[in-house]
Amino acid sequence: MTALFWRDLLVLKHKLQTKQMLVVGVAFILAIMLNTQLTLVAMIFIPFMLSFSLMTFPFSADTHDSFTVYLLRNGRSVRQLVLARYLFEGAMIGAGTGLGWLGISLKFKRFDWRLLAGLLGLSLVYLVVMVPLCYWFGINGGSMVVFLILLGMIFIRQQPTLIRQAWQQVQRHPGLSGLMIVLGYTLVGTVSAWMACRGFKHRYLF
Amino acid sequence: MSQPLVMTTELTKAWPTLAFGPVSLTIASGEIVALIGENGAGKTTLLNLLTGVVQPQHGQVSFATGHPTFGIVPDTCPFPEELTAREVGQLLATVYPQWHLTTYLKYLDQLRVAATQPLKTLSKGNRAKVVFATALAHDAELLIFDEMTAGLDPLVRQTILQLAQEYVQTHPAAMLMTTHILEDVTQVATRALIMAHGQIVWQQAGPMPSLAALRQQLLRAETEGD
Repeated sequence: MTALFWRDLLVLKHKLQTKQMLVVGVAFILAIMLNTQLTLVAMIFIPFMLSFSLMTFPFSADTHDSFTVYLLRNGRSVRQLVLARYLFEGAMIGAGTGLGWLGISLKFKRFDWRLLAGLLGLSLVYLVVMVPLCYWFGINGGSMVVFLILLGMIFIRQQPTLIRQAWQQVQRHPGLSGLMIVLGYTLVGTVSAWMACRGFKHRYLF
Repeated sequence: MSQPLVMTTELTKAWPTLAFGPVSLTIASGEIVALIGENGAGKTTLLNLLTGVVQPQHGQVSFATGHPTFGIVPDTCPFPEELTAREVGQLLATVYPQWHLTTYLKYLDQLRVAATQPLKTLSKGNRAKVVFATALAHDAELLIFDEMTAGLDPLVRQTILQLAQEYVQTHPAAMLMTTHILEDVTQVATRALIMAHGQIVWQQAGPMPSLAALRQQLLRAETEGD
């Protein structure tokens, strides 16, 4: 597990040193400084895309999959490798979400912790959906990001009342809602982890 | 024969295009076993069964030391190409409990590979040397070469095989290599096996036959099963 995590961090270090990342970083700082109509979009969009592009690289290159097989051949278990995957993806998406939230907070000069919790919740949905699917089908993580963003946008557009009602319920019964959310994530997370292990075996162990 | 290091008994695995086995094989410490045969004969399946990546339907794999440390050298570089050879060395310290960074760097130096260059800037031969150096730097008990010399120039191949041979002679270790290059077999192998249609159909230990005789034997094994 440590090996896979270190591999990801070492590759990440190199990814961060590329020119594209420099451009993205400069664009983010400029977006905050200029404070135009596009600032909000840039503040939310850039950190999310940054974290997505960084965290999805292990799925998109054959060399990385070869390292996974290399670890399997060296006695690592499927469970260890899948757990490492979740941890790394979780850390990356958590950092990206945090940056996105910071951008919004700076823009409106208001630090709303509930918004951060909501964004992290949405990120978790992405995590538990993406990891098993990527293992099952060997899908490029970037394609999954686009697909899920589109799906999310359609859902928000089609069901605004449902979302508003759910949000009102959360505000009315914060304790119960919190418990339900934790239980829901535990259930979905367990199913997701099980599917990820199955997907991993399907893809790498035949 | 020295102490058996690995033993397989009646291993079988059914693939859509290949009925593998039953294969029984014992490899002793100090041996260099060459596995030859046409593409799809089952050579890589045997390696995957040995390393536990594929589970057999019947039979079992047992090791004298419980689960040995493998020194695996696949035909392609398994490490992220953004990393330098030195960073690969740091990474593998988290994989192998007995990792010797200085030994690894010494091998890189001996093979004239720049440790500070990212792997993607190295030639195929130099990347192969990096993977090879990793296999010798963690007290591996069983070196496994999966067609790793394919595509390398003769000088690099010879150097790598000589170093591997020295390693096996000076450590409590053995080596199993799959290859299509018969010169490699006659150069270093102490035992040659021919696989055809998922089974070991011929083997010879001790002095290797001439290149022509080995080629003839391989041709016979492949045509007999058709």
